[in-house]
Amino acid sequence: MIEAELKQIERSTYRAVADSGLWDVFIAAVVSMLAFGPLLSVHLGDFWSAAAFVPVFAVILLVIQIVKVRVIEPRIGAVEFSEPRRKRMAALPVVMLVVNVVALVLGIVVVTSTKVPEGPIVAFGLSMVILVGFTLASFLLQVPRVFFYGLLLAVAPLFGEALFLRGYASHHGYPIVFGVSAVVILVSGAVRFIRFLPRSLAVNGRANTKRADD
Amino acid sequence: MTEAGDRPGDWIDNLIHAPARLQIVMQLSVVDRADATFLLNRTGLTWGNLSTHISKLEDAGYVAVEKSFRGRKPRTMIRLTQKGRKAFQEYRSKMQRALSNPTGA
Repeated sequence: MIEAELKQIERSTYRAVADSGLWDVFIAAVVSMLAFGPLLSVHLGDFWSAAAFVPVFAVILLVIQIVKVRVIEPRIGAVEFSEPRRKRMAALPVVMLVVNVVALVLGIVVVTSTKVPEGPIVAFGLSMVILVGFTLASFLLQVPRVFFYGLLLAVAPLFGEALFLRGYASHHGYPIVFGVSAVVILVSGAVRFIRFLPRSLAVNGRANTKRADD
Repeated sequence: MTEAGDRPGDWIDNLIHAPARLQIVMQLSVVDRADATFLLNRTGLTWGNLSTHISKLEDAGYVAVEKSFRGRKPRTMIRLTQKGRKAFQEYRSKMQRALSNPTGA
């Protein structure tokens, strides 16, 4: 009973920190790269269209860090999680690295193979990599909405390919489907952030309602 | 007259049992350490109350208050000590026994 309550407190403590919407904004930024990348590659080529995102990401990460330090932390305070939680969070970059390396190897195999697979197969492969990556991230972070983002993004390349094959979209439909997905995730993050601000301000400005016992 | 120790509930650690302090200890038990703002948000106490209860827990050696600087800003982190964790563990075990067997039979 008490143990279950403590588990619940630990989880809600973690969610209080994870629910500010900043992660969602970051995910939206990554997804927008998949939307703008194909459009940029027409003018800049594959390498430079990818490289162009490095300074953009640097700025986004800087802004997120500033918001975290100047806006989030003064409101919710600072907390260092327990060892099991920290290990779980530390495993995320390693798992993501493995997923990305596997995706990269698959991509190289596809590019260098004599028989280039058809669009739907590539879309299906991308869809699976995204789903696996986001499912693992959701499990390690214990944030269920990351899994739903994964589902949304896993459907995106399949839907984009269908639009492309029917002649409704260029670039395998990625600018449309990933653009829409990025907007959905960004709005979800923005709503969380807007809801977070007054809630945390109200806590700091609260009147003394609890009596000091004994 | 009843002897001290014979009365029901005498085993209760009153330092932990007070609702506000129980909230603080429960919260600190699930994290490594946290600052006062975080505890305020999580417990719903006010600065004055929190400070009073933290002082009591600190005097008993249940929590440690660690002051440091982050850049130029002072930072005060509060941590449940080993003694505090042990006391809370004992409190939980005794409470669980008492609740599951209220007659003591």
